[in-house]
Amino acid sequence: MVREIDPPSIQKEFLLAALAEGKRLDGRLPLEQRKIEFVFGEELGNVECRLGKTAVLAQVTASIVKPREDRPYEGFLLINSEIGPMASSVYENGRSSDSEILITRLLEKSIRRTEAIDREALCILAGEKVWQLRLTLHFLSDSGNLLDCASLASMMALKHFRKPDVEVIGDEVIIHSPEERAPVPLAIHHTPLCLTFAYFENLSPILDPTHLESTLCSGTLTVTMNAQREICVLSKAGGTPLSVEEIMGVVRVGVDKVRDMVKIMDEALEKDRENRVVEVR
Amino acid sequence: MASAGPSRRRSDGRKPHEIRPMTIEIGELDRADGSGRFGFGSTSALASCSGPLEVRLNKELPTRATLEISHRPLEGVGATPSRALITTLESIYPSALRLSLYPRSLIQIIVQSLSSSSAPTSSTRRYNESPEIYIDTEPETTERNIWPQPPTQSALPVDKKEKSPNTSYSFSLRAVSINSATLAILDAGSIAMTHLPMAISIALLSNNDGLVVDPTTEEEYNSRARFGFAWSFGKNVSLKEKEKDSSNHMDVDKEEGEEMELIWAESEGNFDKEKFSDALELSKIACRQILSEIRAKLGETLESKRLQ
Repeated sequence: MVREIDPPSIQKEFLLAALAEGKRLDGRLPLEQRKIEFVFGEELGNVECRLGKTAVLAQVTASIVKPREDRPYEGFLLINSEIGPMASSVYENGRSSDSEILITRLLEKSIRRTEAIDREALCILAGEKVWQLRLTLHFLSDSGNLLDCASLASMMALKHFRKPDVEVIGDEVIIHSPEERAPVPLAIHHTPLCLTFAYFENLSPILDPTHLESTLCSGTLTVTMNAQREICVLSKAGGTPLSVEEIMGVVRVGVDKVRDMVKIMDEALEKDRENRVVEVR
Repeated sequence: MASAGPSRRRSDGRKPHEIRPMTIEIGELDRADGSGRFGFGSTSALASCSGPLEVRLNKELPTRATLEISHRPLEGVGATPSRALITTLESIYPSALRLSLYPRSLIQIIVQSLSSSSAPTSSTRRYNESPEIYIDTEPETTERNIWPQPPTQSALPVDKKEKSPNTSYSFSLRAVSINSATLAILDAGSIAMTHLPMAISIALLSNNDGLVVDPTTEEEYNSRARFGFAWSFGKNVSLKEKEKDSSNHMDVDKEEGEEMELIWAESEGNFDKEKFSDALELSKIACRQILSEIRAKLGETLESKRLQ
């Protein structure tokens, strides 16, 4: 069992003193995110997302299964998000810590429960065959703010993924290989993205805390929003109490940030599309 | 070895004994003590190594460090192939690391596969003639419905009866896992090593094309036999040396004064003794090549660290 060592108090004092002056240790502005980078794999639906030094790899696969009896028109979206010791030695295999559960649940809420993916569009033959999407997240490096990075990676992988084209003739289903027909993208309603703010006593909030900042902060607030200015999830687990104005303040900041993030995602996708030989719709 | 003329080209334009371009990245993960990414072409793996760490009491060993090796496949959760890979790694690394120097501690090695175990979907591969094979609504066979479709038994031509069931990863995936783990330990630098294991996969093509080094997934699925070898490089690792101390021993790399010893050999399929020894010889050359690439890259990394 590896315990995390608390940062030395001199480091804490330095960080707080710098924050009081509106400066962060990595030179960012208080409401500035780390640099977002996407690395696409060879396959469609394989994306590695980096937020500074935090890295999450997302992989989407699809299979055909029988739908539930009570929901014959709905496909499935499964999210596997187990944090292994690669991210950091504090996470153990097969033993989920509190922070891991929190991340998993928030991801579930912000991707599955916000209906980002049109699950009815995954239906092939009502009551018989539907697509089951499996989103596997691999947390490679936890340098703070794993959740935001994971939500970016997940949405990007889902946007990047293409499922094979299917044809239904009567009761017969023909699945076309990528060589025969260009695979089709998923029906995505909106792009909910998580934004995490960290709060320190008597200081204004900071966006995208690093590992050190999140260990020292007095509380965090995560908002999941989309580019349509909708708040999908608002999560605040403990920490300093906040007033309505304070929360509305970060939400206003978040709207612009999410728009920028979606723009970065679209640009990266466009760039990847140009590099691909296979026809991608 | 000579059965395939050096002038012959493979489907991707390589010579029979040519390795795909290697990707070697060292120390990219921030929170692990050491990490390494190794790939042959598009087959790649990422490994991290941390240690010596605090060990859980029930795993503590009084005379040596506890070595914990885990693996995560790209999709889904680890099953039999993942377990088989861990067993391979567990047979290699305890001897490569000087675990007795770190009693009552934990050394973690985590290997993450970065390429899927499924068949390539590139247009070079002839896809299944009958894509309907994987339309199957029976719940117990859902694994077969995965897209991109993993190579299934039914997808194989009938004449390849010697094909073993798909219970393990391709040899090339296993080789990159071993190499990336070695890179990660090297990058960590906190654990003493006695030798460096380097692995390569070799396939014997079915249409009498002879042995090919570093086969692609496609080549491996169309092969008669597949081999995986890992050679360890270091001083005083060769068993031969102890027998004849002063005389010239065979496996010494003259320039480095280093020896190499076979540390992992796995093979499957239909082959004879001659082919096996040919493959063994080829693997020696390939592993030396990998070592020199890694050495160059590691030198670069250390150089860039010094400047900071």
